Amino acid sequence: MKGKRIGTALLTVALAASMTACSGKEKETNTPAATGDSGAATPPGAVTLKGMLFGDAPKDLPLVLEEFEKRTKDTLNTKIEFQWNSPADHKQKVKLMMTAGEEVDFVFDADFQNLRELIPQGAYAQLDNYFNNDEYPGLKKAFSPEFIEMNKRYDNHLYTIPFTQYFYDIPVVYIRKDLREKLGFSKPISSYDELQQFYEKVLESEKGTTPLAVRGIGGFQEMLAPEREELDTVRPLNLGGIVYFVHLSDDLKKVQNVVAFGDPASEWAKLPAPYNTMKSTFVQYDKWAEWSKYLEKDVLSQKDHKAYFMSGKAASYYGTISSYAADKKVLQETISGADLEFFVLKDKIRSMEPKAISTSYKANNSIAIPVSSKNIDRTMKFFDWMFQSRENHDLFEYGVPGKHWEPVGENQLKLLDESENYIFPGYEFTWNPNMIRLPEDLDDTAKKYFEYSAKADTYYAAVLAKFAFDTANVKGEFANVQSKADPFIQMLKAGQVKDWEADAVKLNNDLKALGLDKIRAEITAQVQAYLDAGGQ
Amino acid sequence: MSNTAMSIPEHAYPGTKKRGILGAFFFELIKNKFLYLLALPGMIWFFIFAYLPMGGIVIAFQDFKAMKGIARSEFVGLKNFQFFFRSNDWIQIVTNTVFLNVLFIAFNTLAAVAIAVMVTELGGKWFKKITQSVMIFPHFLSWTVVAMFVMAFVSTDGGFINQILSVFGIPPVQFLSSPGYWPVILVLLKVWHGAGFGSIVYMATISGINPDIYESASIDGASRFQKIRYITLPLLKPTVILLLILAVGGIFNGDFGMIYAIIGRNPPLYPTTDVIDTYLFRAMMDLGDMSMSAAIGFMQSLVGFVLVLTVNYAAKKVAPESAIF
Repeated sequence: MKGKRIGTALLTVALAASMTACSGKEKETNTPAATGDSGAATPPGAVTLKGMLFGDAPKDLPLVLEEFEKRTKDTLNTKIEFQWNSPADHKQKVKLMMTAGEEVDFVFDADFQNLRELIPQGAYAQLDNYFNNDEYPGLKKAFSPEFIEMNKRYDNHLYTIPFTQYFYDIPVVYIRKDLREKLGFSKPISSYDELQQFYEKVLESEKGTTPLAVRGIGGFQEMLAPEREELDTVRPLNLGGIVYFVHLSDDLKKVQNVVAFGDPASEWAKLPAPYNTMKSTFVQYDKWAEWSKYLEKDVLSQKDHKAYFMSGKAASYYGTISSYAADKKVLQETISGADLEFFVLKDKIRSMEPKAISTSYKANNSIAIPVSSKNIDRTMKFFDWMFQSRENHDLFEYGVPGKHWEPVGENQLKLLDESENYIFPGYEFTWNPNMIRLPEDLDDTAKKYFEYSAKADTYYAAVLAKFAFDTANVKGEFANVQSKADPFIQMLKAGQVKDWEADAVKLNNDLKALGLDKIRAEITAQVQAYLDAGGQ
Repeated sequence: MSNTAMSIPEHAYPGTKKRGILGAFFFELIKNKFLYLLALPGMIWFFIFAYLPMGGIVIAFQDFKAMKGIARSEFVGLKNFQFFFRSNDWIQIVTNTVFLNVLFIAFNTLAAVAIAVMVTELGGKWFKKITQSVMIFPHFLSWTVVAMFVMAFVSTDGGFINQILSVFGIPPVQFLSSPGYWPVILVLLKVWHGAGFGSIVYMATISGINPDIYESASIDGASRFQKIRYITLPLLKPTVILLLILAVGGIFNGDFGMIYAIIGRNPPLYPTTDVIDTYLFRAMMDLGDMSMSAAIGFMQSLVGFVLVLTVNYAAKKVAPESAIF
């Protein structure tokens, strides 16, 4: 099956390549040029690289590009032209552009965009050879071999330039510090018990204040999740809204069972403890139902819980640590005397234990280069330049030094007043774990957690972390199961389902009529094929 | 209105009848070349933006792959339509879509006609203009903004309606988890949002009615109400029917912009508010499959088309002058 897929991919690449050849232009191979002319004194011919990102163009982008061209006139001799799509249209525009054969040198793509569909269709160039290659020292330095290895996908080749700062954005509950102190809690919240006492106190003495604000479609998410050792033989897969547990043999070579949410007790009994019953697997669901009294009454229709919190209507809200500095600033500007602090949701992370976070090391965001681009080498040379030094990198990520920002020490920065004219979406173009700068006015606790989540030792790759499910064979079933399960799962996550076990079994029966078992068989087959091919 | 406007006497061109169809076509083209030239830009526009893209319907029957394009993607027959009908939910969803749209069309038309009649009967020039503007204004508010107002009205903790109720000691109504209220709320919003704007066409029609008719009615002693009842409304009928026929074409298309902005993803309200478009959005969230979305879109258009033909046929029987074709 895998061989066949590679065959199809090659065929598509060949077709696409022959089309470019037909257009009468010279075809460029997607391997780096072997000659060492990059070191020569004469700059290469001028080239303009066109790319598609989404969001709003930073106002001062022309200044940054001007500075970039000034710095690299004699080395890269490259101009960059960005096309900024609206976030809602980007996905379709990239797809249409591919269909129309329009020429673009780089596009933002990711799993939540077209990546999973377009890579197997042969739309993007293989980039393996540009990394860990002395011709591209910047890329070699900034992207560790492990990072590259884990971001290979589909046929075990790299099709993206992966961007991330941390491999996990630590989930927290943000708390109104001033309110906590006012209600007589002198020390920061450090356990769920204390958090619950705080919430009870809010309900009791702060009428009209919601203890916890969450988003209607997100609910409690990672809150109250069980603290336990992960088992290598039982791996969760979240697909189309519901969770499947893949049960592997002890040598991790064979798929034994795939148990889905809501399966009968006899199925769960096949799994080792604590996964042998639904109740013990999902202990948090009962807690969620109990804690739902701390949420708004209309929680399911809450579209912007952060804004709700910022308007002073809630005592805490669910978030991730990356937005701490920005949120704190907004809160202090909105409500005078208010202050923000956070409670880290997971024990091991809270106490900053090593190897506490399971990760696939997969970046959520990336740039891909269409095979139809005639400037693949030049595009990669540009990215190589960008990752050669902090100076180059920071120009794109933070703007012109002295105008938009100022470096503070090795890895901190101070944003200047004009920084609001240059807000660049780094996750689409520049982020890298080795090139993070933290705001200098960040408090020490937050700094420690950021440093903790930047350390390689914090993470480990769980079994099946790299496995990616391909929906191609079960598209219809997938759509049916997702649309049926989604309303229930959403209610469950917001703690609105009391007797969730019985309801889950009922849902499961409905899903079986819609093809749940076909998806299950497909998971079994795909995971087995993945293991057989040496995947872990 | 039509190409007979040049009114060339038929007998000036003897032998027209003897030409073949093709010949007659070219003869017609040459005869009225300037009129056709005038229409040409519009025809080109329609050809490029309305007729050419129809070729894209073909992806509803394909396993469309962006890299292969329309020409080389594999045909899969009706497979893309299957998923929609596999679960029993579709009955509920189609019912909701049609039910809400029928309510929208009916109440919007009634309100728009009423507004048009009332505004034309108004005397004061300034008062008339201001009333008209105030009623048209909501049309320009985006549904996202409207949704925020709605939340401020209906939310359980601190919503405007519930605050008023609490003044009278009535326990709060949980609008956001009671599906029963929503068809009414949505219809009210739709009328508030669109009826003023919709009345413009009717006002134009009324101002086109020959004043002599009203004058002679006045001489015969007709009251104001009688003039509305026996002159204005009957003369509005063709326009009303025409706009109804056009609106019926979209009866299978849920108003995604409105419903998703206001309801969002709130499962307890799905029983009355989940329409084809919002359902499709949820089903396709992760897949993003163009072929399956196109299949459902095609089905909606097809049903709309059949309905337009049916209603037009019915209109022809009842009031031949108001049918489109």
